[in-house]
Amino acid sequence: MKILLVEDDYMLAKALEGALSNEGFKVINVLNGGEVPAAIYEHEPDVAILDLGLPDIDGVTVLQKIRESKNALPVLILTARDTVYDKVDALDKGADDYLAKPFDMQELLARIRVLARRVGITASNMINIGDLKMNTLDQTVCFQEQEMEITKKEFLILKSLMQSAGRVQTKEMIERKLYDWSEEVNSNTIEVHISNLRKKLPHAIIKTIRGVGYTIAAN
Amino acid sequence: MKSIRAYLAAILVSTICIVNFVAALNGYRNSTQLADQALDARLSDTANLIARLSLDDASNIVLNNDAIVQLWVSGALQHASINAPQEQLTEFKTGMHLVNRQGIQWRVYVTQAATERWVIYGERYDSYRKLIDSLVVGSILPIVWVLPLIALLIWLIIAVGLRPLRRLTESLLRRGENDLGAVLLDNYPAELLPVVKSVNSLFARLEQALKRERRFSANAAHELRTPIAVLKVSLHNHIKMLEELSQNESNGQLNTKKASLVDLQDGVARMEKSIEQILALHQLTPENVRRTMKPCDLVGLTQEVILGVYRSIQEKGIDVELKGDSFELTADPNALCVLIKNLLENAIKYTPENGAILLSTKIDEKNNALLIIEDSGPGIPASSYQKVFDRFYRVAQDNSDSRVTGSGLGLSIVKHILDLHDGAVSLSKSTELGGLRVEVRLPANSVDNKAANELTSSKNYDSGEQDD
Repeated sequence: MKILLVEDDYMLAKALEGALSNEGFKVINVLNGGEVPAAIYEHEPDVAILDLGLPDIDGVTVLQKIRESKNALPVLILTARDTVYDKVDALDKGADDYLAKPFDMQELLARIRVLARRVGITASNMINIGDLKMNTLDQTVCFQEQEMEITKKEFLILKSLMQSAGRVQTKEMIERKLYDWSEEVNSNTIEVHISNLRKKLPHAIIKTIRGVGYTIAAN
Repeated sequence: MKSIRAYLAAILVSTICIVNFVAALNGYRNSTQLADQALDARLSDTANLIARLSLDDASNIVLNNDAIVQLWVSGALQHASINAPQEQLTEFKTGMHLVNRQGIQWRVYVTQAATERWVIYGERYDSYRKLIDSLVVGSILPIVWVLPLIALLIWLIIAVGLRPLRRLTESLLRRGENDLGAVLLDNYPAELLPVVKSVNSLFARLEQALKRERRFSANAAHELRTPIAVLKVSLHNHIKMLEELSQNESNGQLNTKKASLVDLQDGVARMEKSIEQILALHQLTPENVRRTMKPCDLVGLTQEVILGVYRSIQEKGIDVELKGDSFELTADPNALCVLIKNLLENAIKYTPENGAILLSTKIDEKNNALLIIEDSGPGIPASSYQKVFDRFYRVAQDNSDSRVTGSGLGLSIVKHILDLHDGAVSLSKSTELGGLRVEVRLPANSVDNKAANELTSSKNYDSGEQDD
């Protein structure tokens, strides 16, 4: 798995490179926003970590350029700008995730894993979380090698939870994702589908954070 | 001086009154003086004329009621007009005399016609003075009558004259609190132009200062956060490395090293927290917050904060729940997030492993927005409720985890943000969870009621479900 790291702070870039290499990622570090297109073309990274405060071009502009070239490369914004406006702006412009400096390395790794899993899913059509295996092409789900009976909407809800395993999904986030997959689900009926899913799955797999949303533990 | 207009009108009207009064007084004095001189000239002329007449002619003079004549020859009254007395009117001394007789004032001229022959001629003086008075007063009085009209005119003219000032006031009042743009220099009179120009230059400097301030805090934030990120990632790498080494060979020294690195990690975490809080206190100024006030969904923001810190909730196995109505209120969403995050992080910090945190939102009977955060931690003694909002104050921790650290700035930031929003916070003991209960109240005018009702129904999660 190749990660493009766009970070102009040399010390931070080196430290991150060490940490990410240690986790088995191959890291390509560029210091300027201008070098990004060439680096994407040359190395074909799977995930990009993008700093917003770059010396030449603003990170958000770099992000827009990536998206304008119809490149779906998952981009995680890593920045010292921490207000909700910066976050909303970056997500609006097509960032997949947003993490403010100084971050916890564990948190960054968890988020990269979510992005990497998404890349892996596109490549293999499989999501594996513990004993739970999902084939996104056949739309089948197996638990401990046993195939489950599952409706389409339940499948999509489970897919959205498994894709972001380890992170909490609110009903609104699930609803939005289902809408992107051209399946409309009223946020009021999501809890009904989840309730049905929990009956089919072992008890502890889908965790409810009451009033907030649902999550599946990453492993 | 409460009002320039009233002051100017009062001072002008009273000046006009005083000047008029002095002028009238002077005019009256001059007029009566002139009238007296004219009377005196007539009296002396007539007396001298009578003196030149022959004694017979003079004895036949008949006068009207307002004039008198006496002819004295060798001390005896030769002739007296009808209303002249028989006794001598005044002493025989050439010149003017004023004679009071039976309540009537006469002005009398005495002249000597020949040796031992005197003519005394006089006219009524009191009625003459009355006539002169009424003439003079009649010419002065109209000025008194028009005074109210003059006052009214002055009042209106001043209003017209002060119009540019009022225009300036209005254009300053109309602008929004964060509008630091220049006042337009259209047609201001010479007296106001310097004021407008210095107000504009003040606005410009203030705007610059605020911009500089924002740029500085953004730079400071970047310059402080990046090195901390470097420290954290490097420490993570070192600890990982030691973990890998100690997997291969069991070495006590490595474990000691790792423990010291973990201490270092805690120290960095503490510094990070302090820096974040100081930055927040610095960045959340009334100007910045007012600039970004907009309707926000309290439940949505709270959810977002929970998502952001969920890893630390999960790590401690804390059962977190958010319940209550969804509604919009006008606030700075970023400041509100910082507020919720500080309170929630505080709750997470003091809640023991596998404890519980309950967040609830509601609108009270006075239409205030409430956010209540309760935890199952040890709570704090009621005597400390006030002090915890002081900067750098920390509750003495006898009964809680000694590794719990903090700068003591968290709650003062909460208080600071609430002050900026006219909100309030109160602490008590949670009846439900036994720990601390923090109630944040945001004022009624910030709550948008219309949005409140429609969102309520869709937000109730299946609470009957069992977790884990």
